[in-house]
Amino acid sequence: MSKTTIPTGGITDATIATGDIAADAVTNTIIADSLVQGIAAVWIKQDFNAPATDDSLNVSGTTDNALGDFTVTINTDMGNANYAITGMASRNANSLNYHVVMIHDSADPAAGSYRLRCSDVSGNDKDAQHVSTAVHGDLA
Amino acid sequence: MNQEQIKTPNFQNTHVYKRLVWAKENLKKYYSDYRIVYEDNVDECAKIMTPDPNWMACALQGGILPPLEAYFKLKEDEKKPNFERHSRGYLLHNSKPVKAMTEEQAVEYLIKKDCPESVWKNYNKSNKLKMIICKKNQLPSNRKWRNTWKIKEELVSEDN
Repeated sequence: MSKTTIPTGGITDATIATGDIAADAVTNTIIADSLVQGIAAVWIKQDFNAPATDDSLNVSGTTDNALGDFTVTINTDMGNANYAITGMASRNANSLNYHVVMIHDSADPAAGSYRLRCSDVSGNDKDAQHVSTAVHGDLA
Repeated sequence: MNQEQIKTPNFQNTHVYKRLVWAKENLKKYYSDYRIVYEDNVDECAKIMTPDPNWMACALQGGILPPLEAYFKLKEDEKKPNFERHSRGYLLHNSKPVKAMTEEQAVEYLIKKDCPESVWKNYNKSNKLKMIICKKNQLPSNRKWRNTWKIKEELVSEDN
């Protein structure tokens, strides 16, 4: 691979002329592949209290299993169950209890869904008002 | 934004994730009042499935979601003992997308996609219904006794 040195003066608007970029040099496919690897494959912001989905991407539905216990079903499946889930839950108004959200201990994640458990710091299941989760990994 | 005037691009052979990004930018979320209540374990309370508002917008628009058969085939692959990762994702992306559905058809599609097969295939085959479709306002209005919710014993299927 050749190495390009950036001149001291930096790159001005005129440094790269439009003609220097071949048509289709950057295809949508390349951009899409990079994005799929780099951005969240799934994200959702839920209200366990309502319960309701405030907004989401790549989710087909949610299942309210019990108090503080929800399953998120994925629209475009992940490649397998080895993906990373990050999440955050809020403290409810007028409550001293902080909430945490975690992968539910009774169900391993699957390519098409993951189950969440929301509890207070004492381990009691709770419905937090704001529960956000995002998934990074390979899509099917 | 007038959803009725938006034409869905030809999405066959397009990654479903890209279709969903397009839908999120172009379609208005649709909050369905339908809820799917089901019981898949006699020792647990009833579960309530809610269609995602972005997903429902895609279902009503048409030309975005893959056919159910593609999901079924991926589920079959996942059950195989030597499954490591999906190698037939193209079934989702390359199959002809399903046409616009009514809200009721979309709910039926979602049940078959996301509810356990043991529930929807035999929902009315035992003494008690395993699954019902209801409206949001038919559910209890607060979640105080959430872990005791069950489908009423006296409910019977209209199919019987």
